[in-house]
Amino acid sequence: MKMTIFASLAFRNLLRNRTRTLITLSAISFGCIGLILVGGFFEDTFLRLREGQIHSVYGHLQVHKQGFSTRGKTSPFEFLLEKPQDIAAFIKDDPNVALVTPRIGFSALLSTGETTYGVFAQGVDPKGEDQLATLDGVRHAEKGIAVFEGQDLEAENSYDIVVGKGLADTLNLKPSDRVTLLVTTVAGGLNALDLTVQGIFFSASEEFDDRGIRIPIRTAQSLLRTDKVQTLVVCLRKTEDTDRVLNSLRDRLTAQGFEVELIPWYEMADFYRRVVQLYRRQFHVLIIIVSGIVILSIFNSMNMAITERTREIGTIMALGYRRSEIQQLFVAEGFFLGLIGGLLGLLGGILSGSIISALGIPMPPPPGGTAAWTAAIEIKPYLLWTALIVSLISSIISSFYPARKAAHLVVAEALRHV
Amino acid sequence: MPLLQVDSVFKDYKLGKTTVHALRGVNLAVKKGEFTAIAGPSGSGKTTLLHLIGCIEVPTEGRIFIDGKDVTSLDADELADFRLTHLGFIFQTFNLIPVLTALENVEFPLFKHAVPKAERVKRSMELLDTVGLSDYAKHKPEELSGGQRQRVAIARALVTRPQLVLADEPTANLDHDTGAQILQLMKAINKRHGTTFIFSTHDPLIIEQADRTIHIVDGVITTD
Repeated sequence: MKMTIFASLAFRNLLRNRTRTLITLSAISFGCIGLILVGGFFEDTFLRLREGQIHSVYGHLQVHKQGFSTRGKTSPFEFLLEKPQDIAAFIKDDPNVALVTPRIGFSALLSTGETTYGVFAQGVDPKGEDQLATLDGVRHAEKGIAVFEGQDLEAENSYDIVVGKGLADTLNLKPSDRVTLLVTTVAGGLNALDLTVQGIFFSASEEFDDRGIRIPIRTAQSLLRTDKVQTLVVCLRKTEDTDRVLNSLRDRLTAQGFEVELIPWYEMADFYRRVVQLYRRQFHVLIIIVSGIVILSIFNSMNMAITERTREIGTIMALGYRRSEIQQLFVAEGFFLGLIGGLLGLLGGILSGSIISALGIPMPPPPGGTAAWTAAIEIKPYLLWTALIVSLISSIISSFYPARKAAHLVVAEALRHV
Repeated sequence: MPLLQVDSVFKDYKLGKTTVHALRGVNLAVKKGEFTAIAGPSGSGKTTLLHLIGCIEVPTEGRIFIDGKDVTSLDADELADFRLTHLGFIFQTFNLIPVLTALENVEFPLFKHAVPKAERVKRSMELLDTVGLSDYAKHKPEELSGGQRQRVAIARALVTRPQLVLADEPTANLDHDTGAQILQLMKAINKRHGTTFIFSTHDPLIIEQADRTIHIVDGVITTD
């Protein structure tokens, strides 16, 4: 009952000096909007980087022969998957799996006639990779890996090659140029093939763009003289399902007697992990800054209110209200400021975020990337909660001292206050 | 036993390095149902005496008993509770809460009592009726005249059914006629309900209305 009148009183007192309340509310809402927009921009960057890397380099899961992750780097050809079609068919039966596509990775020398350069080559299934590269749910982006000059690989067994943007620049390659790829075969012999540059690509990884080439998998297999593959790249319908599907597949593949190991994308995407860590830290700093703004604006507003209402506070205490109740009254005012300002901020954040997302923010190539991109604001529920909780907690903290000051006024002096 | 007993009360204030002796050995007893004026010039100690009786301040020395209770021994919270249950206040500047309506201002002290809403509104409306303002229940203080505001303040002072109502120069901010009406209203309530009133004033015409007048000069009671 007492709390009802206190809440009502606190609320009405906010309407008393409307300009001041409006300024304080604006400060709080702008702080919230800032948090939501910056946090949403970071989330969009994470999403884009994550999906970009999944849909160009890693897939959601990679299946290798047991032992590949520990010893595969030094002797990759000892860890090739036998009967990859059987494993692929088994994995494809899982309803969460959208695609299984084979790859074989190897080091090679790429020669233009004048220059020879060490490259990292991937034998890929063009159709599978095209499907893998398709991005769903990322605004202003369609492909994880995109051929921007010439064309992508088409047939499984053509003598075509696509090269990364950095590599094309280094070797001055253009579509329809002829190159020679020199490799060590699985058995240890030498082999070479003449190939035609079909296109130039960029992916979410600058490292891959600088040294990477792709050729059709059948061509790669005949070059390396093998019918095995190194990796099965698994693409899921939803990134969020990665862990669940990983565990279930791992168990079921083992039960079927396949000697394989499964690696989720996040264990491979080291760069993504570091970016997230860095941005999250920056976001925490922003939370501190916004809390500071909210605390100072409410503190100032409450202090002025208390000076103006000294005699009223004296009266309420003379009527029989305790000091602690006066304190509650002013903390309630601060709480309402935080709540209303926070809610307005959420509304403003969602609205401005949607507008900015629709327009898109033109961005230069990100660290580790080669292509300019268009950013958006990805508003996650946790951002809204964070913004609201920051404004509520800051408002309670900032009204605490002024409220305490009000509660410790000397009644007789407060009554004499003009 | 008197309702109020003030025993050898002294009150000093520190003003920088000097000490002001506002009250110097005041003794006073007021019986239930009295309508008492405390008269004296500005700075004589009237307000200080009312604040001490009203448990708003504590004496430097001496004891004050209200309804047999030694209020000088209570802590801040106990004093607040005592004010709520035993005392009513009327101020010179009315001191209504500006954001509340007349009815809510009257109700305000009852929010701390466990009075059901219906009873709270009924009691407050009856009092607004007693002071002649039942048509103004929804008005904010700024929409009322000085005399009307003081009537609301009187209703607020009475709503908890206190034994003692203290009024510090209740007519000083009102014109003479309105002041006289306010005093008549207080007196009528005193006669009808037996509520004890102690009010301070320096207006001779108001003093005439009192059943008993205590004169105070320089912190000492001169005539009673």
